[in-house]
Amino acid sequence: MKTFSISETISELRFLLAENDISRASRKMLDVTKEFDLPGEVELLAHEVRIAHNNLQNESQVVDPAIIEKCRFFVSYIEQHKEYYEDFISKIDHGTLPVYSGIGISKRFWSGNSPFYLQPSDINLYTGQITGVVGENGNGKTTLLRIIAGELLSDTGDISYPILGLKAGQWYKIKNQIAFIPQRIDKWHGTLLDNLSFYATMHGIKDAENNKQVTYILHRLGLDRFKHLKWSEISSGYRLRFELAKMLMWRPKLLVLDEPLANLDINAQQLFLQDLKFIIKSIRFPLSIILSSQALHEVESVADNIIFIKQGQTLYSGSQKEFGQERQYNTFEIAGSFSRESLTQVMQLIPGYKIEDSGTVFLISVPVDFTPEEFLQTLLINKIRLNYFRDISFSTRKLFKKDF
Amino acid sequence: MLSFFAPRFLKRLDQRLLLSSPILWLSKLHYVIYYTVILWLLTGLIALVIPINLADMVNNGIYYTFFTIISIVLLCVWIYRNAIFNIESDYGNRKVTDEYKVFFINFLCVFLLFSYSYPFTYIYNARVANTLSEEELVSEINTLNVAEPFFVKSYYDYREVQIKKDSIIADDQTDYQSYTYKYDINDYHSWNKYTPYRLTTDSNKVQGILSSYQQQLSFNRLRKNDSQALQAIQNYISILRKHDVKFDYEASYVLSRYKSLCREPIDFNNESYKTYDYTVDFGRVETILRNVCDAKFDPVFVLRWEFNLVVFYFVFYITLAFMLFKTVRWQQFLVTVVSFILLPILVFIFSMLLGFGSGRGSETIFMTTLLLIYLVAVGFSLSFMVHPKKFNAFKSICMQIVYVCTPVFFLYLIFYLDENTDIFWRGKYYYNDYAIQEAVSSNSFTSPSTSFQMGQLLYEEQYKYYRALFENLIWASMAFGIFFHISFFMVFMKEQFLKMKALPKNK
Repeated sequence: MKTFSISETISELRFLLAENDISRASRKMLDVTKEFDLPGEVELLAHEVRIAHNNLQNESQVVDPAIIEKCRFFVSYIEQHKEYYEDFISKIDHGTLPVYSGIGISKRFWSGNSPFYLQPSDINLYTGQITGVVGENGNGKTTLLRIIAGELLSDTGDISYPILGLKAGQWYKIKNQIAFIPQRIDKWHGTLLDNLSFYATMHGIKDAENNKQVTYILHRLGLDRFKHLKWSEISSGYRLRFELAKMLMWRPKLLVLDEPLANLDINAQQLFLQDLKFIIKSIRFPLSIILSSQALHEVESVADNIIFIKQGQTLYSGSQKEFGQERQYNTFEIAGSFSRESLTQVMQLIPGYKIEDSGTVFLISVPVDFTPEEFLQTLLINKIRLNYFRDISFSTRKLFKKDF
Repeated sequence: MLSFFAPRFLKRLDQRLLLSSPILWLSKLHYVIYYTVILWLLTGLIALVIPINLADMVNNGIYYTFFTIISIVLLCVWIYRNAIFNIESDYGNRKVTDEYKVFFINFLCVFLLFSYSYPFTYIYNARVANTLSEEELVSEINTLNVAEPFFVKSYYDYREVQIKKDSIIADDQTDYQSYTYKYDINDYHSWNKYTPYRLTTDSNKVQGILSSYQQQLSFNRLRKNDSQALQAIQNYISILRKHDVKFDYEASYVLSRYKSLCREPIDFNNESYKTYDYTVDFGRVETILRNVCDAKFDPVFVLRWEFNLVVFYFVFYITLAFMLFKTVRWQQFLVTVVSFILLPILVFIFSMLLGFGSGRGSETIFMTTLLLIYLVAVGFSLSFMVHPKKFNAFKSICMQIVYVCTPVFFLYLIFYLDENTDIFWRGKYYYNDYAIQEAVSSNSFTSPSTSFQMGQLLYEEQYKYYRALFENLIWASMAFGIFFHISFFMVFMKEQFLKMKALPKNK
């Protein structure tokens, strides 16, 4: 579980300022303003820095020294009050109840002309954790997310939302605290700013607080420039970010994202995942995030837990770190300018190996005592020229293997 | 677009409401009030400046229609602006009492949007009423009525006389052949020609209008004195010309023509008489006086309770339908709207088919089937309320039918009972007891002397009592239906709709 740490934040900010990385430093500063009630002038500094950054033509443009100075003042203020804020964090206790608990959840339905069965599974989602749902297309990821978000009725099992303290059936109140972003986002009408303000207001965030929250989220997600535009005037990447902003505005307890990375370019994906990492760290407004995606490695880079679904069956549901701890093989993904024959000749030097050609890459499995370094060394010695290598021993990527 | 024309203070208010009161912000009540005031002033100004044509009040209707079209366009804009943001669709925070707030605000908005024609109609009517003072109106009516017999325009206005044909021997069989009928111009009988109908039936409305008898006396005095007669005719012509009626004849001509026609009764087949007829639009003055009188003594139609009752139900149902649209899924709402169009047609066809040859009135079958549909919808709605587990489109539609029909259900029930039972004595007077009808219409009924007549009187009183009860129950059921819906049912159903909407779907 990732939580906000004031010491880590200060040292990170110092490092970023030393590197002149105003982009990340300004976001970090805004994160601090979200977690603590800072004096107005200090909070304003964070916004000023962020606006200054947003106004830069490009990342390489020289930053005004006055802005750097403001950042330094901000950091020094936090450092001076470090003990107070650490004490504030230590007093916060969100308990150990899961946000969502689903026991024996299953769903059977017809998809076109073929039957589909999402087999029973147990899933618990906790605050401060990101859960990634991975699997091939049409294997039940969206079905599972819709059940969790209360959009789809499960055939069997018990669903509860313990942390919300609501009884089963109180769906309006439950959904009042669950944010579900489907793959296809509904169009917004009116200006983006009006939408954000309205969603905050209707969830009880009013007047000055509303203004503050909207300003914060716009600056934090870098959306300030677009706030007066309309839905049709922004790209799909920004639409997703605005949708995320809208949902975060009212501080839901559970954020359900169905294929959020699907329409994003690689930079937008990275930015979005960074946002998720920041969101999940919040101690003041803790929430749980569950997302499905095909971008396996990107999801694994941010997820605490992984659920792998294959043909409706949950093959793995648990901690991402624990995955592969009891493996019998180390598995590597490689690609390069070599033929399968030459690779097979080399692999014969390693007893108990397996090769799977997945078209663009080879998946090599070797006994667990054969380390990645030894594997790479073997390939290099035998003149196998690699241009891609990934150790997927701890990744659910290997669950995609045909023989799994 | 609308905000583009709005002043800065309104935009500031809009921004403030956005941050503090989502319900008010959504309703755009501030914009509605602002544009209503502008349009009231505008329509009032139009009513002040447009030329009045007293002889043709169609203008009034055209402008009313025009303003109604503007209202409908603005209503569509308002509905769109309101519907694009939805608290319920996104599971926003809400209190049970919010529904009252939403209802009254939306009701006010819809009413204001439909009120643009009120100032126009009121001001235009006032202008028409003030074109003639009460004294002028009375004077013109009397002048025209008294001198009217001099202007021989139609022999039907004069008494018909029977004249014996000298050459034919009369007997019972040939009587119709032995007499001819002519018109005696000396004997005018169409008095009150220019008195608007409501003044002849209600003389209390205005003092000074001469009765038929008084008109006759005045006319008889005039015809004995040529100079007075000429003056009266001249006054008559002046009034015609004042109201833009083209009259090219001299007063002396009118008098001499009258006198010549008075010499002997006129045969209406006489071609020479017809050639002397006036080709003048006398009807224009009649219309003008009637219109002025209507404007003076009749309440403006937009202020009549019948009109406003219709407006109330219209606004009420627009408000209700719009609130329903925002509370349920649009697909089911659409099906409900189509159901409300198709169901009565299908039930009508069904009742016609079933009623044909079965001996039972198709009207009864029609009304009973509609009642049954409502009760079935109530049944399905209750089944959802008892066990709400998953979203069910059919039950959602049933609930919507119940929601829309309940405000008029009690009224319908009263009509149903009256139509299909004798509980309110509907059939007893008109269909069953001819003797009672006879007795009621006879003079003896006013002072009953026999026990039979006493019985008849009692019967009649009972009839009157139950019919009065029926009338009162109509009003009571209308009021109760609206009160019940607004005070309790609307909020209760809203909770059910939201419960339904938030439920997980089956697929």
